[in-house]
Amino acid sequence: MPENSNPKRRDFLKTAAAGAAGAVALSTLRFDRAFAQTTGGWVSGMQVNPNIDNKRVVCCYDTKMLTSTPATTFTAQNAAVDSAKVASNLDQMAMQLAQKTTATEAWATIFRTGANKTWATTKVAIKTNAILGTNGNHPRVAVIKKICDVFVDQLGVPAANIVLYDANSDASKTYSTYASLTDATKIRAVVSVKAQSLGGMADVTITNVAIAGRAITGVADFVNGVTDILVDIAVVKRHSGPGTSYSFGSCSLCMKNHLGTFINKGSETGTGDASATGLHSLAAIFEINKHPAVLGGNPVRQQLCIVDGLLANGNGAGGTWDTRVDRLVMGTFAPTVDYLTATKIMDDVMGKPDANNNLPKFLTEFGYTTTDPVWVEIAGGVVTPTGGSGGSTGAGGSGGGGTTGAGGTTSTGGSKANGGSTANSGGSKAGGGSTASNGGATANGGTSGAAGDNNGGTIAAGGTTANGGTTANGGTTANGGTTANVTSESGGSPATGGTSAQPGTVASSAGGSTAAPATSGAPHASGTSSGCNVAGGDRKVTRWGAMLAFGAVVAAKLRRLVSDDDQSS
Amino acid sequence: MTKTFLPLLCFFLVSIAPGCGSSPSSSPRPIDAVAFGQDYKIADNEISGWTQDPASDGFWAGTDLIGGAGIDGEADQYTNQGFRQGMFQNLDGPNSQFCTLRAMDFGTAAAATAMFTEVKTGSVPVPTAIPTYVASIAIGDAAASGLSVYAHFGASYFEVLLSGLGDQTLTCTECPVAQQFLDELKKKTN
Repeated sequence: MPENSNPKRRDFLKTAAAGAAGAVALSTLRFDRAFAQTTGGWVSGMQVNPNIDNKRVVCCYDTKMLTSTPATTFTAQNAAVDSAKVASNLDQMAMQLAQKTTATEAWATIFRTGANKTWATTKVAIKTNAILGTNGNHPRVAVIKKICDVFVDQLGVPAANIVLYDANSDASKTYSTYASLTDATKIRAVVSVKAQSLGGMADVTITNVAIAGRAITGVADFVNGVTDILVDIAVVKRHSGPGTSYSFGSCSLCMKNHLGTFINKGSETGTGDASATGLHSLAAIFEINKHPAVLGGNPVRQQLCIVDGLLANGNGAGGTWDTRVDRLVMGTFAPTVDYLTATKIMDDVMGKPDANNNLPKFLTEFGYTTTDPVWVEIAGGVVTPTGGSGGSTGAGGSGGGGTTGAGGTTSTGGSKANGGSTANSGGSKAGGGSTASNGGATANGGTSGAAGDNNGGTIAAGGTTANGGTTANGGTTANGGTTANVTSESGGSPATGGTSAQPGTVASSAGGSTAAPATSGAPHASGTSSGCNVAGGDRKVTRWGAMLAFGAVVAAKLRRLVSDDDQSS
Repeated sequence: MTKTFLPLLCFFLVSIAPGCGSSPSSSPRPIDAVAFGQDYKIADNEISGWTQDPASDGFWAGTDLIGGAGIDGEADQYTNQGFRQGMFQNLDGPNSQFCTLRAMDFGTAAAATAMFTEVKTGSVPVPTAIPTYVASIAIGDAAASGLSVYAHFGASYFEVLLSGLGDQTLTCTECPVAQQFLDELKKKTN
């Protein structure tokens, strides 16, 4: 047949292929709105990071991040933390947040510096919460240290360019003994006395001041664009302000943590704490979190928000920690991080709901609705499958493997079976069995879990790069992993999608003749694996899923058709 | 005549009726934060097993909740209700238990009651009853391993923030120490 003997058909194929590819590319982003970069603070629809959805928030639950339940002092809190576990979990969370298969890729996606900057000249600031000193609930050293390690060891930011601060309560009083510019066992950063290492404070204009006439200042290096990257690390604190004068969703999290980036003018002087009473209103806190000092810059200055929820204040911000929560939360956008932390942890876990129904405003103020946020939860060692469990590096029997354990031959997940960090369901490594790994009711694929001959569970959710097996069968509502690859074989001859099976956001599929683009939910066992090595599938199914299911099928057919064409030409 | 009579009647009622306005006996105490702090400070083992935390920020008495007591974000709710002076004390208890005690002078019983009511209605949706105390005087708010108690006696308002109790199903029945603190504070008020 002459080449292009059927030009219309070929043109159609190219167009369709481009459309499918476009759908795949777009699906990677999973954004509902256009993203934009700004130097002027928040604008409606802007994305903090063009590669990470503002709405995506990752939570890690791992009881082994604390080796014991500590006393109230900050010293005791830090002594009880398993720093290596925290670091490992933060890596896993970053991978889930950025949807990358390695921590290196993930951190390189999360943190960005300016076009005219090198990492060696990049300036970083980390906001902590240092209020109430000795017995206060502050972000633990291990969390801050890990972030500094990423900047110093991976990205090459000099430790002297990283400043840990709290302009309100003086972080130096709490963290100085834990920091060094050269000792890699410590926080490698400058610990500022209030904002002194960040140029002090500079005048800013805040429209919604809570006290008429109150002048407000912001950290000068943010206001003046000196600092390139801002990381906001908060703790979980219930905030019991009265409903009439100061009600902020009954919580103090990442957004409120910026009382300490902005304060009353002149209050930073002296040895006592500064004051931010001029900002004690919901409107003021929203305004400072839209301010160019926080969301200005190109790239956007505030690039990561973390909530250290290992230990929480359930009864009020003024006391010591009183509730062990064993969780870390991470996202790029403070409003969604705060909303989900308040609803999923403070309300659901701690039983401390918003007393004034202000939490929805966290989202609506920024153009989102309460159904928009995506909560990705990765679990640690407390979820026990009914089918038994392997050890942390042990081999499962009929149960599932642990973190790196090998699954048994007929590994069957429990009701909430979770794969390991590199769990290959049906493979030779951790996770499900070699022949017939069956996911549980809410089985989650591993981070890079490759399915063997898997059967998805009722709500089997694929891992980050979960690969469908040869005869992978989706569960009732099997969801593909975020980069679920259904290979030509993995689609399987009788690859059967679930009832509402959906592919991952990047279904790079070349399925078989009947490759249904589902299946990637490679479920497997090992609920006792410790550490947040388990890739939980997203709890939320996006509209892109349905588009991609169609796109993946079309792509597969197109590829075969193109291939046929090429062979015949 | 009516215009003259009503103020006089009001003055008369205020003067003779305890609880109707400020009687001479409930006039605000002088601003002397040091004295106020000493009045309410819990001495070592005054409550068995409880001693003041040795950290430098273990005790504070003063009038500046932000720069002094360092509570900033929460300060408004007290100053808006007429906070005048206060004492914050951290105490170490048995078995790694910990208490942050806050005693605050609001000048009048009415103001202290208003402070208590605002916290009760605004921040404690599911109060825990404190044995021997009615809910109009003291309530508890339980966390996983902590219990915050809010109370008012006379012109003073109190918060007893207990933590490290280590009980996931904490109730006041399991936490008699809360009652002990309230008993001491009530005694010191009287």
